[in-house]
Amino acid sequence: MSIPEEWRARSPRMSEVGYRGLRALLQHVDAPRWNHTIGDRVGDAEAAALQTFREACVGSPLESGTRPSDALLARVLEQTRSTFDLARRWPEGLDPRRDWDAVPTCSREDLASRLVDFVPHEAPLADAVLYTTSGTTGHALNVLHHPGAVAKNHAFGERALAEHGLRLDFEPGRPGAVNLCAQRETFVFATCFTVWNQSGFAKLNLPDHAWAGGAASRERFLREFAPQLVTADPLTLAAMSELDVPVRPKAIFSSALMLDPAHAAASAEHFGCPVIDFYGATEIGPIAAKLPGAPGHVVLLPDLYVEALGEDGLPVPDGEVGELTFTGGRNPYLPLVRYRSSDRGALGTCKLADGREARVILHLQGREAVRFRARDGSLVNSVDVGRALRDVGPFVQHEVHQHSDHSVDVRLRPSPSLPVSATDMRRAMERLFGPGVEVRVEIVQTFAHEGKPRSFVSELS
Amino acid sequence: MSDATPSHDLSVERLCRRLGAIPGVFLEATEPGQAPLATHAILYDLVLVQSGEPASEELVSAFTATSAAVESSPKGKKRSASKKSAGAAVAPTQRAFLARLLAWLLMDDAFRGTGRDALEVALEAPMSVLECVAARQFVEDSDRREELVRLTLRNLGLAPADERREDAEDRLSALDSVRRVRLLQEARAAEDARRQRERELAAELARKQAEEQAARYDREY
Repeated sequence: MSIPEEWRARSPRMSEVGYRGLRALLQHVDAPRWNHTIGDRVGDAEAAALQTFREACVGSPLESGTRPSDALLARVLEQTRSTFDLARRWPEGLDPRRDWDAVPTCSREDLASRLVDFVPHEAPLADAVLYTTSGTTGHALNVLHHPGAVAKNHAFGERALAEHGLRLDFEPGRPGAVNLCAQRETFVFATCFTVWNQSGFAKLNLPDHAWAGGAASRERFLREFAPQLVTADPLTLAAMSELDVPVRPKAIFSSALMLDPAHAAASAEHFGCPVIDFYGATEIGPIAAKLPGAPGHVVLLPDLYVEALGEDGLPVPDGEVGELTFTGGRNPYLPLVRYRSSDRGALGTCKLADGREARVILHLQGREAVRFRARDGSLVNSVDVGRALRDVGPFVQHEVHQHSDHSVDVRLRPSPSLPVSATDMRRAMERLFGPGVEVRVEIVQTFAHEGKPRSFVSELS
Repeated sequence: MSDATPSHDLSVERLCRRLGAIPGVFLEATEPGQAPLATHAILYDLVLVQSGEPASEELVSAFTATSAAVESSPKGKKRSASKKSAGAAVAPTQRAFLARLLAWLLMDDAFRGTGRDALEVALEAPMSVLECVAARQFVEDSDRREELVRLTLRNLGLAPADERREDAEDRLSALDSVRRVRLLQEARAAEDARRQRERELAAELARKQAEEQAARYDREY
C-alpha cells in the first residue's frame, strides 16, 4: 500500500504501517462522521528537535530560580533586535541580569491589537500554522505556531506521565491516544502521530449525532480503539462519566478549563486511572501539570520562566497571588518576554521525584468552566463559543452572556480598520446554540466597565 | 561670577563627581532577610534636612513600593491611577533607583535651604526619562550623569557655575536622552518596515486561516 501524496505532505514521516493503521481508523465500520483532515506536519528536522527537547526536559535544570536562566536572558536580549516591540521599548542600557524588574511587560491586549510587534521580523512565515484563542479575557488572539514547536508538546505530556510513574507503549499502526469532546459541532478526524511511534490518533465528538451508527457505533468504536491515553476538558469528562464511555486508558489529561479536584478524583475512580489536570494557553503552550504530592500545577519545562506580578508591576512574594507572567516558551513566532497572561495564581517551589526543583503554581484562577446551554438543555462549551466567533473573522475582544431565558448577548470590540459582520457572527452563534436560542450581537468600541473581563457569563451554568 | 554663593558649589563637574561617588548602599537591593531599602524614607529625610519642612504625603506615597499598599489603601489606588497617565511602563524599582540617585545629589551642601516644593519637583520631573533609559545609566555613564546634574539644576531654576544660561541650555539639549533614544528606537523599529511586515503578516494570517493546522493531542486551550 503506498501512501498518497497528500498524506505525505501532511505527515512527512508517516510509515507504511502508520498509514495502514490510519486507514483502518478512517474506514472502520463504526467510524464517526469524519469532517476534517489533518497531519502532524512533523518532518525530520522537527523530529530531531523534539528528541533534543525530550532530553532537555529530563536533563536540563528547570526555570526555577528567582531570575531567568542565562539561556533565556540571551534570548531576551536577542529580541531587542529581532522584534519591533522590544526594539522600541527597551530602555537604553538596561541589563536584564541586574534589573529584570525593569524589563517591559506586554499583555493579551497588546498581542491582540499589534501582533506585528511581537513576531520576530525576520522569521519566515511560510512554515507557520495558525491557531486562535480567546483565553481568560476574551481577546481573540491569532497565534502563529511552528509544527516543530507543536510537536514538542508531546514531550511535555510524556514528562507529566513520567512524574506520575506512567509510560505509554504506543505501537506502530495501532490506535494510541484519543481526544474526546462533547460538543454540538467540532472537527472530527483521525491521524497518525509519527512522534508517538506511528500510532493512530483520533479526535472524536461524543454526542450521538456525530456518529453515523449513533451511540452503538460510538460504543463499539471506542471499545475497539482501547486508547492508552484520553485527552479531554472538564465538561467532556462529565459527559464521559454520564455516558459511561467504554474506555479504560492508562491516563486521562484534562486541559483548556479549570478542573475541580473533586471532579478529577471522581473521574479517576470511574475510569480507574489518574486524571491529570494541565494548565496551558495557546499563545504560551503547555505550562504546568498537577503531579502527585505537589500542592499545585508544576512547571515542567526547561525554557519557561514564570513570575507572579502585583498591581504595581513588581513580583509578589512566593505564596501571594499575582498575575501569572511568562518569559520564553518554544514558539519561534511568538517568543514571550514578560507576557502578562491575565491568569492569576501564586508561586512556590517544590521538589520533583528526581530531586530537581521546580516552580509550582498555587491557587490558579482563570479559565473557569462556563456552561452555556442549547434550548434542549445540552451543553455548549465556552471554548467552542470563542472558537465559533473567531472562525467568522477578526475582532479584538468578546463578551458573551447567556440569560436565563436562553437568549445570548454577544458584544465584540472590532479590530482597528477591519469590519466585523454582526450578521455573520449571529449566524455562527445560532448554528452553535441550535434552534430556539435568540442571539443578539453588538459591535462596541469599549465594554465600558471596570475590572475583570466578562468574556463568558452564563446564567444557566 | 562674583555672587555670594561660592561658584564651585554649582560646578557641574563637581556635582557629577559627587553623583559618581554615590555609596553602594544606595544602589543595591538588600538581600532577603535584611531591611529593604526604604526609598520613601530617604526622600523624606532629604526634604526635611534641606528645606526644613517635612516632605508631602504625595511624594512619600509615590515612592512607597509595596504592592500590598497599592491594593489596600485608597491613596495607593490614586497613585496607581495617576502613574498610568505618566509612564505606566516604568517599573517602580527603576523610579526608586533614580530617586535615590537624585536624593544623594540633592543632599549636597549647595542645595541646603532649597524649598520643599522645588525639591519635590526636582525629584519627580526626571522620572519620565526612565521610559527610554535604564536608571543605572545615570550613575554608570558619564554623559547620563552630566545630563542628570544639568537637568536637576534646571528643574531648581539654577544655572551651572561659570556658564552662560544659553550655553547651559545648549549642553543640556545635546545630552537630552528622551530625544536621542526616541530617535534610535524609531530607527530600530522603522515605521516603513513595520508597516510592510504588518501587511505581510495580515496576508499570511488570511492564507493560514484556510490551511490545515498541525494535529495536537490535547484539547485546544
